[in-house]
Formats: sequence, structure tokens, C-alpha cells
Amino acid sequence: MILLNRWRRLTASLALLWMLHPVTGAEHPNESLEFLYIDANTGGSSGGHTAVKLDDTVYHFQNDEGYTRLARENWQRFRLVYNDVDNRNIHGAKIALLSEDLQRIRDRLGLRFMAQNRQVDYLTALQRDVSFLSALESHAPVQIVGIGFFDRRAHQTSDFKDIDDAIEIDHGPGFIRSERLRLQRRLETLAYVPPAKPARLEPDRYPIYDPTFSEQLEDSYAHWFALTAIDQGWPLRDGLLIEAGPLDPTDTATHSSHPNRGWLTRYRDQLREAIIRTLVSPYPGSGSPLLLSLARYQAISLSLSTGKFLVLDVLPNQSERGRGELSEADKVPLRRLISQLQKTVHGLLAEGFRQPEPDESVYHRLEVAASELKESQAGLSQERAIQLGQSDGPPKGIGYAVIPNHAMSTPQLPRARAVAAQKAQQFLEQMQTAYQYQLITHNCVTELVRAVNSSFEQGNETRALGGHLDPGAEQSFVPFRFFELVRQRYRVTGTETLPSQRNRRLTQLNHEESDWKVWAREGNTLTSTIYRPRLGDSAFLMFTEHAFWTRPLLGTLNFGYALATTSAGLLTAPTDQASLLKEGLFGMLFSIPELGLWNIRKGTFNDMSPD
Amino acid sequence: MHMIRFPARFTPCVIALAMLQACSFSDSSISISESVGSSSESSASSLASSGSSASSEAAGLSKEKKAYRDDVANLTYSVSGSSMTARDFPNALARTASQFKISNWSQEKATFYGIGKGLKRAGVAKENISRQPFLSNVLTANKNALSYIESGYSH
Repeated sequence: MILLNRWRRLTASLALLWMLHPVTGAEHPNESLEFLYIDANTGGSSGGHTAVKLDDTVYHFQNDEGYTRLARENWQRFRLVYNDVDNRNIHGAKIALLSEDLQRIRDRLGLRFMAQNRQVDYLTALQRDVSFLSALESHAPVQIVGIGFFDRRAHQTSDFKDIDDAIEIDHGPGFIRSERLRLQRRLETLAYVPPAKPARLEPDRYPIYDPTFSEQLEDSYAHWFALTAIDQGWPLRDGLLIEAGPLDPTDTATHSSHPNRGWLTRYRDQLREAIIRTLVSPYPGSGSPLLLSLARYQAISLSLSTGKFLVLDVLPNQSERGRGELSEADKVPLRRLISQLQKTVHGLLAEGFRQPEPDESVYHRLEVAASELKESQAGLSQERAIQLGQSDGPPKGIGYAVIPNHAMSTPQLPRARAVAAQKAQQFLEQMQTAYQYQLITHNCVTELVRAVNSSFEQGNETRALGGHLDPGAEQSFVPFRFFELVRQRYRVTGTETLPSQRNRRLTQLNHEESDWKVWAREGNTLTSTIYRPRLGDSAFLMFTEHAFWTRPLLGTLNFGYALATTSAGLLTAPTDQASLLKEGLFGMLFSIPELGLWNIRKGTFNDMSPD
Repeated sequence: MHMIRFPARFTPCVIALAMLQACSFSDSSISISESVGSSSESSASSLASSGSSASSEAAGLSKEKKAYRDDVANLTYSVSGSSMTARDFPNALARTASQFKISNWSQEKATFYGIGKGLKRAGVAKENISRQPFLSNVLTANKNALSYIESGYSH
């Protein structure tokens, strides 16, 4: 009842706030964005977390190796991680604003995300310079994306013959061989030149960087490899193709008029055009996409000749990566996934390729769904755990090669490596300076406020959002305090809470059984049917999320339980890599706030809720 | 519905504890069934979007492609008038496209629509589009490049 009254008062206050924050002029806000506050829990973001949701896209700042990094995620994925797996309630406050103001925020966050991603890519490339130079020193192979698609056996396929012919006709006989020679010479003679120190990092401007030493070598090698694959007719590696189904799903016989066949033929034509253009006019970074196009080109040619819809496996060699056994409990969602994936594959084969214009994203969806289906079925039959998260992106074709580079002498290589390491370190420090992470002044909340405010000229955010917040002021560096200020200051039109996975399941049980029975069984970790203790959750006995006045008492029980676990952990430390000891120590740590009426720990899940 | 309980005062020690690992990565160990959910959801939504592509075509682009177009527009706006060269711009486009799992940016109309949108935002006159030095390689990457860019500019 008290809560209900508070809720009514809050709603009335919100209505009043709305009236007090009129938008100037005749325009009325017709769009909305949502500030999110994610409850605390053990693990990452134990102080709670903050994000902003624009339609289906969520932006939030994270601490990544000492600097704040802007992350952009699909809402479904964000909710899966924070609401289902991490078991945190997500609270949202919707703010009404004009569509042009929403677009300003979207553009600012989008540009900032791209600019920082490019800077992070550059840092990675500088770090790869070091590993490439080390590899050259020891004549060791380096990883190159795309070369793993092909088997270096000559004259095994004639699928590239039309590409070869088209290039020879347009650019003269011998073009491919002369290009191969040119690239070979470049690979042999490219010396490391230290890059100039980049200018000050600007968060809102897309940076321009010259290709690094490793990027130039990788790109040249990929182009050389592609030309050689065409010239010598290299086939795809064995086991790389998956049969998604018949090319004509209604009849296994090949029909030259079936939409799938027509679509694939047009897509292959598009790929051929892109391959030829990239070979003739390469641009920095085009090597790996070129090899992917060649691999898909061959997969489509085989599909058309065999009448089977063959796609590249985006999850190759998964069985070689030991991931432990599949538990009985995990078989249930896995069977559910297999059934859903089968429907997806069949649906795509039946309906997905009806559009007249080929679309890479549709083709890629089939690659992903067919690969995930194959991997899920293998996991179930072999009773091994599977990992599907890596299927996020086109097939990679990772391969290794020794680069035949002789540009630097034996004494020059270690010197070049030292300089490269220094350059990478310098740039990392630049990143840490530009995007410094500090607990109070530069964290996930303060940076979000700064980014949103920077979308507007001075003072205009007050007009756009209905109010103004200074980053970190009034203790707003704490996520829940920030959310409270959002509700007080901005033009909030509604609030909503998405209960965590455990809370959703508790609500369901409360409909089926009496409250006290559910509390007695589900309130502790020993008899709970919803929750199973997981490594990283810390050792605890009683859930304290819903208790308030009894929280110190339950916290004392948790502290005692964690203390006992710690003692046991001391004994088992030599045999279990101190994991029980860590659980016990963290259990004690997260019990301390409970003694002071505060709850952080809620338990986490590793499976999906039934709903 | 769960209410958030915000205590009127909180002790510095609670803040310190609560902020212990604030804002750090919460990627969790997404294994078998978490990815079950994400993949099946994404597959389902993907299928839905591919099925509803007729209406998306009428609106111009699907939701995913609009997001890609907007990133290209942002990129173009940011580099327009900068030292970006014709050789480097395709690289920047390829990086942007890869975020959306697109490997052939030159075959995506949304790439060119985005360039047009970005040029307009940067204040480039329509008749000067083909004179932008950083666009010279992009204009030859697709036979309809200029008309798609102009279309993106106008909408």
C-alpha cells in the first residue's frame, strides 16, 4: 500500500514536471528516447549501470583497459545480457523530444562510436606491427584473414576461369601474373617505417590514419593469394561448406527457373563484378573482403552445379575446441534452438530469396543459421557444450602464412620491433588520456551525460530534454542517483521496469503457489528451483533483494556462510586453483552492504528463462 | 512491478563498495543457451525482416540498412572537406560496412544513399557531388553510384 501511494505521488509529480517543462514554440515532441538504469549485481558493473536507448539501439560506456569505450548494442542483445543472464532489473525513463533533437543525439553518439572504433582499430594495428616484426625475426607464420578458405592444390576447380578470362580480356594477357609478381616484390621489400604521432584524439571526428606496416603486409599478401587462387584454380578447403538444403526446397530436382537459382546467379554476377574491380583497383583493406567474395563465388558456383544450397561455415572447427560436456539441463534449450533454427533455415530457403535484387545480408543470414544449426546438432549428438556467439559476422577464413619479407636485416628487425612497441604504447596512452576512466569524474554515467549534452549547442539540451544535468554533479556519477535526477529534471513521459529473470520467474510461481511456500523454497540458494549457484556469483545462502528490514539479519547469515566457504576454500585451494576461496571472500565482501540494508548480489543465470 | 528504493543518505563506504566495478564490461560468459536466445531471436527477427521486405522497399530501406546508411552519412559528414583521400575513403566505408556484416559495400545501395545524406548535411551543393576529390573511387565502384548518391541527397 505504501508503495502504491508512493507510486501515485510519483506519477502526479511526473505530470507536474511535464507541465513545467513546455517546449518553446509551436512544435511538440513527437519522439522519445529512454534512459536506462540497470540494477547492481556481482561481476561487472556492481555499482549499477546506465545506458540510453534510441529505438532498438542501446549506447553505453564501459571501462575497457583503462579508458571509457562507447558500446553500441542491439536492444535484444543488451536485454539478454543484463536482464536475463546477469539477472538485473532494468528501469527505463522515457523522455519526449523533437525528432530533429533525437536525430542530433543519434548522429552524435553514432559518430563518436565510429570515431572511437577507428581509433581502437588503429591501436590494434599498431600492436600487430609488433607481432608481425617478431614473426619476421623468427620466420614464424602470421595470421591472415581469408586465406584459410582455400586449399593450395592447383587446378582443382574451374570456377574462377570466367574471372580470369574477363580480366585478361579487359586488361591484357598476363595481367594476373604481372600483378602477382608486383605484389611478391612488395612483400619482399616493404620495410617498417614508424608512423608519425597522430594528432590529438578527437572524439567527434572520424580520424584518418595511414595503413600500418602489418596492414600493408596483410593486404598485399591477401591480394597476392587471391590472384594465385584464381590463376592456379585453388578449391575451397574440405569441410568448409554446409548444405543448407536443396536449392529448390519444393522439389529436390534442379529447376533452372526456381527463384533461388535466379537469385544466386545474379548474386554471383555481382560478386564477379566486385572481385574484378577490387583486383584491378585495390584499396587499403580490400584484401580480406576480396578473399571472402572469392570463397562465396565458389560456394555459389557449386550450389548452382549440384542443385544443393551450399554455404560457407561461419563456425568451422568447433569440435576441436574442447568446451566440456553438455549438461542435461542445457539439452532442453538446445533442442528448442535446433527446432527454431530448422524453421529459420527452411523459411529462408522457401521465402528469403524472392527479391529480384540480391542482398548480401539475406545470404549471410542463411550462412549463420545453417552453421548454427549444424553446430547445435553436433553439440547435441556429441554431448559437448557449444558456443554460438562467435558466429557474429561473415565467415573469416583465418589462415597462417610465413611472409617472405627480406627488407630488413637481422639487426634492424629487433630495433624496428622496439620502435613499433613504443608507438603502440604511445597511442594507448593517448587513448587513455583522451578517454580517461575515473571512478567519480569519468565513468559510464558522466560520459553518457557529456555525450548527450554535446549533441546540442550550449544550453539547447535544456530545451530538447526538458532539463539539464552536469556530468557528475549532485552525486550523479552513481548510476541510481543519475536515474533519480533524470526523472526529476528531464521531460519524462513514463517509466517502466523490466524485472530480472529471477523476478519474472518468481512472479510466475507466485501465481501458482502461495507466497510463503515460494518464499521458503526460493528465498535461499540451497532449495531454490529457479536458481543454481554459479561460479562468480560469490558464496551466499539467502537472497536479499526483496527483503529490506530483515536484510541485515539475512546478510549476517550470508556473511557466516561465506566465512565457512572461505575456510573450506583454504583447504581446497591447492586443488581447485583457489576458486572456492575466491567465492568465499567475495561472498563476505558482498554481504557487507546487506548488513547496512543495501543489496547488490542477486545471482546470475546461464540459461534462458522459459518465457 | 518493482520499485527502486533510493535511500535518502548513503554512506561513503556503500558508495565505494557499489562502485567497486562500476561500468566494467558485462559481457558475461555467453555460452550455449544464452546464444541460443540471441541467435534464435536474431534469426527470427531476420526472417521477419526478410519477409517484410516488400513494405521496407516501399519505405526505402529496412531498419538495419537505415542504421548502416546513417553511419555512412555520419562518416561522410565527418570527412567531407578533410584530408581524406580517394584511396582511403573506400577503406573507411569497408570498415563501416563490416560493422553491419556487409563485405561488399559497393553493391549496397544504402552505402550511396548514406554518402548523399552525409554530403547534404555537410553543406555540399548537389551539383558539386561529382567534384568531391575523396569520392572519385567510390563513383566508379558502382555504375549507378552517382544516381544513388543524388537520391540519398534528395531524401
